[in-house]
Amino acid sequence: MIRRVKQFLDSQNPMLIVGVLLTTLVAIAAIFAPYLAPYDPVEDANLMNSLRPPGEDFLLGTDRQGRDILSRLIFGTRIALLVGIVSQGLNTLIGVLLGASAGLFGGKVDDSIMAFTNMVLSIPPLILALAIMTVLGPGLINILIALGFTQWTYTCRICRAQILSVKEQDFVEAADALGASRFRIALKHILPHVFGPVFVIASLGVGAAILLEASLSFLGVGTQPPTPSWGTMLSSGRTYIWTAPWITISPGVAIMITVLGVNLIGDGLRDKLDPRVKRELDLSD
Amino acid sequence: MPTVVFILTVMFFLLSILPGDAALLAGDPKLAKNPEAMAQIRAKWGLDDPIPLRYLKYMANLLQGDLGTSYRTRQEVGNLILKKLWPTLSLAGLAYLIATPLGLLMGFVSALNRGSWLDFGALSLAIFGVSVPRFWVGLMLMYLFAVLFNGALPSSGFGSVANYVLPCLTLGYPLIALLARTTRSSALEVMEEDYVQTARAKGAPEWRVNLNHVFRNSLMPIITVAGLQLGTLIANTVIVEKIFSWPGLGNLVINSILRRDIPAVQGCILVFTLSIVLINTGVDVFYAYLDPRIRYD
Repeated sequence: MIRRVKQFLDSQNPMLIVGVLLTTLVAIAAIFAPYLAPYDPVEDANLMNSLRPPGEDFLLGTDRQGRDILSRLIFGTRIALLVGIVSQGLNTLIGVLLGASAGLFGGKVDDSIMAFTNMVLSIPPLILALAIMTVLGPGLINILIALGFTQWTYTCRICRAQILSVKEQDFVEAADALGASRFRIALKHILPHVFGPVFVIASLGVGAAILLEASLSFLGVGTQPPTPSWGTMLSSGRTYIWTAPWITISPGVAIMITVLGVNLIGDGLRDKLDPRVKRELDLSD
Repeated sequence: MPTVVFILTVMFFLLSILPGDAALLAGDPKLAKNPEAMAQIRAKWGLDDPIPLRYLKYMANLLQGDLGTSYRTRQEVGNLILKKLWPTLSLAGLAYLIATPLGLLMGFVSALNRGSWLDFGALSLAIFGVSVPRFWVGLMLMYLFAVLFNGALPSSGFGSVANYVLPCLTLGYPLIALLARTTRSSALEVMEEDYVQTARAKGAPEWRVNLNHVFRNSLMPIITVAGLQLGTLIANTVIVEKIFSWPGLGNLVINSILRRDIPAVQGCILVFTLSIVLINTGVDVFYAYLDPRIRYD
């Protein structure tokens, strides 16, 4: 058994293992947050404890309202993962639907979908998200919408490119010759080839979404206080950077660990894919 | 161009159907209880017109270079933006000019020394570069230089060369990381090509093989990435400007969003998208010029 595990580990990319470990750590923090956090992230505010440096009672110090930063960080994993997973889930769904329609139907459908995709793609995510947040106003749900409906372009393009190349393969022709319906061919013979690259894009996108949420919250148009979002914590710490730098340091480290974890998973999985798909993915970031 | 029109149109309609009385934003809040004054404000700002008519008016004015008037400062949005353009463009341009050669150099050197500690270091730096929030790095730099190095570099303000150092660093380091990564993988791929082998076989010195054959050929995919990144860089000035209180477009757009100064927001988004679309077109043209195999119909 142990030898098996060791063999499995040796056969894997070490970066991938580190990524899985980091992500598991974050996921555990998110699931068991109420048991791990020493204080309540929102309710335990006491101005008597305002701006305490890291010490015995508060491992990472407190913020201006006297809330424990460690507890807020631990609960922040929930917000980060929620934003990353929900928005990326939406993006993947939209991207696969549009990309698959473009690739499978071809012709006018393909042209119009790709024209729209390239248009959305040409605007940097931050500007697009800012424009949407202006319209919707700040808040967690609005962040999910702003990020969930804007980052699907790479998924769409990869999905379409994969389908176009698989469509020409012999086994598709064979299935067609055997009398399989078009629907069956699309579902059973073509679409399974799409999932690998789409998963890679999605896992890289989770990291990007977490960073974008933090950026928007930092700019003041994202998640609003007192929600324990890392971006909001950084934003409120900015004022006290000269006197209480600990408010700012730890949320940044938390973001780094989380994003690094999912990015390493994405990178590791990308390296496992075949080189042709890999090149296409490489250009995507 | 369709992109710019699309974004403007969608934003205009969504912002127009937004709940809340725009007259309250445009006028003095003290007048809110005075219906007569409110009606006057509405008429003055053209808020009584049906939305499609307002859209046509807005677009027509836009074609004449009129971006409307800011609710907040009562200034022409066009003038407001023009004043903020130079700080933003100079910051983005400088960061770009410094980051691009550095990224290329780092990626190429690590490709040549594949598997060495140098390569590992550059690669780790590159992964770090895409995982750390930019604004956090900015804040940490600010803290480091102001507190630990006794204010060796200014952490806010605009005007002197020293003011540019920290914002440029914050804006440019992810680009260095990204370009290093792209250059490395591109150069590694080119090294496997037959013509590199041939060059080596006919006895060309190593530096020449590397420079003339590997480096030049690995540049092509990098140009696309580097070109598109200029747009991203301009977009990210929003964050950097907020950190360092930089008097540019980014700060203008954020302040306008927070105060719901809709004409100003629309103007800023227009300038951002327009500059990015122009850059992307420029990259395409440049690319076709460099690689005669590509011709756009």
